[in-house]
Amino acid sequence: MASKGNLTLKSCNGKEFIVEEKVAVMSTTIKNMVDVDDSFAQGVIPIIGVDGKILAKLIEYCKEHAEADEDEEVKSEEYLKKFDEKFVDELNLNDLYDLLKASNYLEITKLLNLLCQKVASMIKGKKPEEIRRIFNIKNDFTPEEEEEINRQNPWAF
Amino acid sequence: MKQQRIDDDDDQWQRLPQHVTQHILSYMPTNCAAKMSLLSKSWYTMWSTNPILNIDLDDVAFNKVRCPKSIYWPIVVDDVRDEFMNYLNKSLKRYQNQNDCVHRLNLSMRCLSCPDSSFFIRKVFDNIEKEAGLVHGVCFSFTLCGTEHGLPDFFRILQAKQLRELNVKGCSLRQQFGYKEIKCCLLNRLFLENVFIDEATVQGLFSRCPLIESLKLVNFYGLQRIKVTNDLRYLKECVISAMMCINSEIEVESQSLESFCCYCPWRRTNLKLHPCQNLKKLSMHNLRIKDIFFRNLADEFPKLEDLIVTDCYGYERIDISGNWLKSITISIGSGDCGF
Repeated sequence: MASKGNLTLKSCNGKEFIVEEKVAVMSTTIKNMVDVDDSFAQGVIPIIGVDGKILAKLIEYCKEHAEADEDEEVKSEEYLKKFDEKFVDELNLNDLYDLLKASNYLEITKLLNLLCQKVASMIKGKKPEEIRRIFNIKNDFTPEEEEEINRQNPWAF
Repeated sequence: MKQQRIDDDDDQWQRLPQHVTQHILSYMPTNCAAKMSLLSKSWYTMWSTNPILNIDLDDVAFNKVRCPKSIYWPIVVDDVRDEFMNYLNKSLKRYQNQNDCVHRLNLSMRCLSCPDSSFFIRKVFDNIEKEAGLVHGVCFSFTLCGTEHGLPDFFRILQAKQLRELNVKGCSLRQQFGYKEIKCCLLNRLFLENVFIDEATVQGLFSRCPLIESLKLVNFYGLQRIKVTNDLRYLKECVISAMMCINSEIEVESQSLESFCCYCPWRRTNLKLHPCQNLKKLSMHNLRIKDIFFRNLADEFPKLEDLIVTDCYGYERIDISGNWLKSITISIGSGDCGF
């Protein structure tokens, strides 16, 4: 059981994390849960669909940002920027996907923006075939359909 | 051991919530995002229904001829213009048919001075006017233009009744039009940066758009006086920075204001700040402040938490009483201080 000011988050594979409330409420979803129902603040909050590895990552991110919000001098904007860069650079594609899904579900807006930006930068400048290969996307167009799209928006291609 | 994922062969990226994918697309240049529509049917749908329309004319024009951006873009825009306009027409029409809203229309281009670009912008405005009920946010950004170049028919954008956010950078907004032509009365956020604007336009906007909550005027020309009054009764955040005019006057009177920041590049700007009941954050740079301002701080701004005063002058003694402040930052320009 968590002490006062701390919350316990439980991943879908049963791992428990005790985190400070200010870190946990970086997630709007968790904030709403705690605000509405006091029992969440005392008990264990299940984080559905997020496994221990991803939850640990989420907490790592939220911790840095919550601390920076509190004390701008120790963790300056520049420090945070570097942290963010390193954070997304170390992710593999599966983690990136899982984190995107989780940060959307938990409504951690800052992280969601960061991850979306990262994905966009991975895609930029690549050919469709390359993008399909990286993201494992099946081309379900017939050649005629593909031709039609090309014809519709010639300015883009 | 590495965990084997069940959905390894699946197209998991397609199963992301649509708004997340569209959010990703919004971080891409216009033509890159369009290319994503070629990937698969679901990506095509996501691209073509994206409520965020990002139109960077430089991306479009330069992609077409594959030349470096340093070349003057009007030379190449001709052959792209019509087909691109066609796309824009169709997009806006689709939003109308589906009764969807354009959450944000970003239009950015490099240069305003050529006749082509005026034509282009007029066409965009034609579209916006026709679908005026649908556009929620508009962001115009013009780089390398300079404030001498007017945004043609600017007032027409102010007729979009559903407009919530207006963001204009790098052009002149000085026009002849009457207050009554401003119809965007739901406007909530107004950001103007590097613009030339006159007093009538600003006061017209203030009086016709009473719902403005966030107001940012940065680096602007052409104004001698700004008066923010209680007419903007929902105003929470206000930034007035670098008003490029000597002997200018800024007057702020607002009961709802929570955050106010004022930065002046030159001395001799006169700020008249009336008592603000709800002000939490106040930051002032390079302004004349009198001793009495500090003495009355507690009475005039009872909820103040953060006070930042940098390079201000004209005071001799800083006398602040009360322990309600969370943080004070004062860096001294001139004058003696005593606590």
